[in-house]
Amino acid sequence: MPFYKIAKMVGISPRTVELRYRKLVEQQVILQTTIRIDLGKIGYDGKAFIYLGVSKGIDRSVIIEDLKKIKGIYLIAAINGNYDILALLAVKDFANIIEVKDNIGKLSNVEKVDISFVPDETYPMSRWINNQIPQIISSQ
Amino acid sequence: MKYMGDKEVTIDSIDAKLISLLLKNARTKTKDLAKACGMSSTAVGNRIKKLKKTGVITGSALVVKMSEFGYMYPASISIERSGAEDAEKLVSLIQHFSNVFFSGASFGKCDLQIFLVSKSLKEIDNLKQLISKHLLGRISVDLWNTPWVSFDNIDINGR
Repeated sequence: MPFYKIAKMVGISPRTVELRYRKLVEQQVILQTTIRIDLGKIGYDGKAFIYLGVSKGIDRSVIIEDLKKIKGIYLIAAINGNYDILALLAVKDFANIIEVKDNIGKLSNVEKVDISFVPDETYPMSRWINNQIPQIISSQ
Repeated sequence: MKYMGDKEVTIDSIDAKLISLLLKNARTKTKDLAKACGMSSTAVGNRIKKLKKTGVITGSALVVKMSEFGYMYPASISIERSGAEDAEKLVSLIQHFSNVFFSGASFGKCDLQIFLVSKSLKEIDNLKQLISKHLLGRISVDLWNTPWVSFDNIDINGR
């Protein structure tokens, strides 16, 4: 949204909006501004949620660093539950899922790989469902 | 530009570059985009308009540090249904939770996936209780450590 539109909504000048925006970026409250795209329009089929179980006692950050190198993976989180790591993959087709699953399975200390495919082509995340927190995604 | 089937849009290498640059920073100035793509600002503006009109670009998103707003607990909920419950109805119900930022039917490991970010573990538990009232099945909750995110780690290939 352009700064002038925000300014009108908030009731301050566009210049003030810009200065405040830059301050929030400096303070790392705002981490990034990105666009939302329809992956289906450019040849993608949806998203895959990849759940990994790793060997006990392993430093998950090592595996996470390997996952970051896989093209298409855009979100990775160490998780606490039935699995150890969750990765989100933008999926081109089923061959892509199989290829990525095979590559992940070859990583050291990865013991289990389970996948859920979601035929949702919004990127990076779904359309906002409730306007109270419009398109906010946590990150660090 | 042509439509392939009823969905896919043909984009060229310049469109692909624009999308990649905007994924990195949606507030990149038009003149900087123009310089990177070797064209005029007007041409870049027209291309972005076209990408929006064809539905390739659907909007923008702000990535914020959620903990600054009290949302300390990112989590995912996976649901494996055991009956013929109406998944769409459940997704529709869940959408009214303000801290859910993704919910959708899936297939594979589970039938429904939900991503949320909460101010407390109690909120997550409340959602889990709501879900369990509406369907039979296995509900798994995974609490996340702070995720790594890189929105420009996908291939945008122009033809």
